[in-house]
Amino acid sequence: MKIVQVLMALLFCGGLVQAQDAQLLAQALQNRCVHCHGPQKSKARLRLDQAAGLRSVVVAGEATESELFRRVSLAADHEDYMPSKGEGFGDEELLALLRWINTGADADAVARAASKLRGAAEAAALLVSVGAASGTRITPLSMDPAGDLRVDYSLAKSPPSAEQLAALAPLAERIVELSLAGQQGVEASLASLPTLAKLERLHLERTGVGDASLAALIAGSSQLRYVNLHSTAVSAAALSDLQKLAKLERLVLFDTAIEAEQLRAIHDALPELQVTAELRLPGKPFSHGGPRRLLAADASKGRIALLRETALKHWEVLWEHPIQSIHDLHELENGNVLFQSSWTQILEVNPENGELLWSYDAATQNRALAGEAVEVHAFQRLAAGVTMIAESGPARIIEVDRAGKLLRSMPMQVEHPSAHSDTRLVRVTDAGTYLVAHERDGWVREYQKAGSLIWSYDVPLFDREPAGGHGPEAWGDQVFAALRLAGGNTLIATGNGHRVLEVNPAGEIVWQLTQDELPGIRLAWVTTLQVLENGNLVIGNCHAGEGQPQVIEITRAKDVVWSFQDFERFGNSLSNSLVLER
Amino acid sequence: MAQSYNPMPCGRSRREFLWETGGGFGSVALSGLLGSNWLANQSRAADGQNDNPLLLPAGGGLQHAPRAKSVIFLFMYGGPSQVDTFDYKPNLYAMDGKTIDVPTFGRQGKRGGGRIVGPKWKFRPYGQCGKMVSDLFPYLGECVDDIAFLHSMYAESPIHGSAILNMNCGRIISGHPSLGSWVNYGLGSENQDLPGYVVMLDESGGPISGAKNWTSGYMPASYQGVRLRTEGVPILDLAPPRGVNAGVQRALLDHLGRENKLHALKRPGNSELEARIAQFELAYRMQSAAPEAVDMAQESERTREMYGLERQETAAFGRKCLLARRLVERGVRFIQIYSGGGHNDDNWDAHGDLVTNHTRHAGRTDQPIAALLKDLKQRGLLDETLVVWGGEFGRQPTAEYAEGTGRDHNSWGFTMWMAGGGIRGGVSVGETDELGSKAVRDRFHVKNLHATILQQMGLDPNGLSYFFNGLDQKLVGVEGAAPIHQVIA
Repeated sequence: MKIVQVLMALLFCGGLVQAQDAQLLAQALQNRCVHCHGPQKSKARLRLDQAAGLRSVVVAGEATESELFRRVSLAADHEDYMPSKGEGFGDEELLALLRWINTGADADAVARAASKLRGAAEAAALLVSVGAASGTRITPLSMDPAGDLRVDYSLAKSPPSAEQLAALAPLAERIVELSLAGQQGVEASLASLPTLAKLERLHLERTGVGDASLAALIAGSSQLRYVNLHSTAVSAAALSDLQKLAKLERLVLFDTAIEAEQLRAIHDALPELQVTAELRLPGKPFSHGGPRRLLAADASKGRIALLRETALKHWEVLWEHPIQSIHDLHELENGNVLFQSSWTQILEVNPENGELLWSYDAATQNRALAGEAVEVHAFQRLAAGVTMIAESGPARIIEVDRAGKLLRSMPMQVEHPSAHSDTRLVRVTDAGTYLVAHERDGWVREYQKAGSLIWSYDVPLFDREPAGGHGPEAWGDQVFAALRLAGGNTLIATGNGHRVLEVNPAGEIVWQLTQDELPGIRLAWVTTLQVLENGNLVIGNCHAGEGQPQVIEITRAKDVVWSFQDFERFGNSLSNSLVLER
Repeated sequence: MAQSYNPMPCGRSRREFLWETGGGFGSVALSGLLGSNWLANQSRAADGQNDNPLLLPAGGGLQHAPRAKSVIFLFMYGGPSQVDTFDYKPNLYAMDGKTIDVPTFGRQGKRGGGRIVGPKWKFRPYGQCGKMVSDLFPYLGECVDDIAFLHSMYAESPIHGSAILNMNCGRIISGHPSLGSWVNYGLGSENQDLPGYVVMLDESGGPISGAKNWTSGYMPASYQGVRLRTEGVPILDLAPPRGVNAGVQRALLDHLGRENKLHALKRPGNSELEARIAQFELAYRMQSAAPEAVDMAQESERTREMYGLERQETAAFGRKCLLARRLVERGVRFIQIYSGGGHNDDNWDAHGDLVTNHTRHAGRTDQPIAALLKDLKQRGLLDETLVVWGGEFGRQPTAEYAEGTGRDHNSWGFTMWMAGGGIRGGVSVGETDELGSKAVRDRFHVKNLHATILQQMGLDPNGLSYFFNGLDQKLVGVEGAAPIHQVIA
């Protein structure tokens, strides 16, 4: 069984070789012999373009006995050598002739191959003549001499004339691809284009053609699969005609008169159709969240700056502003920065262009007593442009509008009044209360806006005597910040207590981070607190000394996942920072 | 048996026969009629002047249906670091500063290990495919669904000069034709008024070895790359001297052409001479075609903005990318754009400060390249334009010096990417080891990349050959190479 298969395979291969030999031989006879032994001249009355003539000069199965083979394989200077003029048989051709004779010299096969070659030559000549008349390049897309064609005007120096397009008529039924790309002005000639019934791909991009021309062009071309119309005047009016093309797969509509809504309608009507319209880059990089930005300030370096982490631990300054003193800063929803440049001056600046958009001077505005000692250590922008400001000295929390007009004022309860430290940070909670870190008192107190004290917490000293200084050696309860968490607990940065506490409404500590819990990090004056979207905490670590991170991000499991340390741009008094996640 | 018969009755050896018949155009025209199989296995002559036989109507010579008509090769000269760009190695961050035993081979020679430099940029997911891309490429990140990443590339040399020849010409030694020459040799130029192969260099200068990187080697000079400038005169020495008007120039060229043809009659088959005549004529036609091609005033404000022409950082590379699109529209087959040139940190060769170096070069190229991909796509051109991105090699996961973030060269594993031209989008193939040090899975040699490019252009990478020095020379070498089928759509 296997032997039979092998034999079959050999026979099949033999057949292929014979067909190739016949083709090669027909080509060789055409190129080398027929000029003298053909229809024009038949020297020695021999015609090698005919099977009979060919048979007369070969002995089937006996190449070496065949006159044809003998003559063409002689040395070129032999008197019997053929052809007597022009180039002789090449070795591939000689081999083909040899095999053809030895395998039976099927002259009819050669005649058939020759006829096919003549057909191919005629087909090629037709392409050349039509190409010349139509002023384009016509490319066959297959080996079949009567096969599919591509007509490409895209590189022509000027658009084709009506006559040139009309000249495509003899080949119209074979054209499957037509490109007029870039031929502005072709519209005037399009009416002369013959109907292209087999057209599958149509390139009209950069031609500026309009609806009427397009409709006329595609009316007889029901086979269209691809139509490129970018940078044309085509409008939504053309869509109904295009939708009639049952085989359409791809439509390029960038830079046309078709509106986005209409594009959506096509997509809904024909979800399978690939429609390409305008594609844009995001206006800004990182539109879906990008590298971390950080707003940070250090009065000892006289600087507040907005930075972007271009590479890990590498920062680019996006904006900066000089300051004298600072204890609070915010990024507003519109991207502006609300900060203070001194203990009394609050500014709102657009960091994109540095423009000052709002300012408030606590030393002069809404002051009953001239020269009254006042410092601001906390502020916050509320809804409708209202700003909350906590005044140490007067010990009150006020709200002012954009014009600086006093809208509301609430006295705070302080046991040890101090114009410098009645408060550190104050935040309006989601419930609308004021949550205040009273630094001098060492208490966190929560007030209703009407003034009543509703919750308070005495920051513990943990049975240690207070110690002076600002660094890790200091000790006290000079609380800097308090945040109300979603569950009702309060997160507290204890300042020179070197800790973060989470206490429940009953005042019990439910979680805490102490001074030396983070590997390689020593907490000093713990200032700001921020809860990130992923639940991690960002804490400010001020006065900790060079070599220590100034801002630290930890998980609730107390793994340090990120930190910031910059003792060039900032110094040992980086009191305030805010991580910007978007 | 037929096979035993001496096929050379006239006493010529097969090699002599090929020399004689393979060198003339006549035999090629014939071969064009014989069909694609024959072409795929034969060397063919090219005189740089006559119509390309592969495009003859009766031949229909393309070896298979092409997926791409043009190639834009974005060459990141100097070698971008894979672990800081597209080859995400999450475990490498925590290893920053640790000494590790990992063999490396760079300009410092072979080493057994060193200090890990963790990736310096955060990676984040983009697109439908969720490809992780570093923060160096926020705009390009928006294009990942059109890109196929090749993470397991390797090259034959970790030294710029030989590696860049490897990437451009397939060999580490000079004298071989470059990729753009092979493409134009195989397909011919579509536009008779512009060169088929254009090279745009970085403002800081050319890459090492200069013109050897766009040479036509042993092929006729008409296949070499032509340098195009985006500012001032597009092609140097193209404009006629003062006082020579078009008529005078035409008369001169016609006379020269006649003399040259007489000269050529006695020297049949001298391709250099025929190429020179052709180049004179091309230069004459380019005098009007080139300024039109580079005229950016025809582009809309929105397009200019998209490519970053309004920003100083991106303007220079953006102009080149926009020009590349315009050249594709005008039928230019092969366009190569260099990011980086000259020496040291003027290119991606980050031996010193990785962050400064890569921030600079990514910053200059990210938006323009993303704009190029989006623009090609919105015009329907990405289907038939193959965009290739990469350098001559990548960089090591370890530090080159005791201090700092600089990385040495690494040809054992690096990332390149392809988009458009029948390449699948949103895929990543091949892997390096967990350090990003060496390609370990589905490794792809530079030859495989070349084979893929030729394949997409409709050429048989293992059939396209040029007879020289007694050999059927091929871009992928006589041993051959397979295209990277995993990325072919």
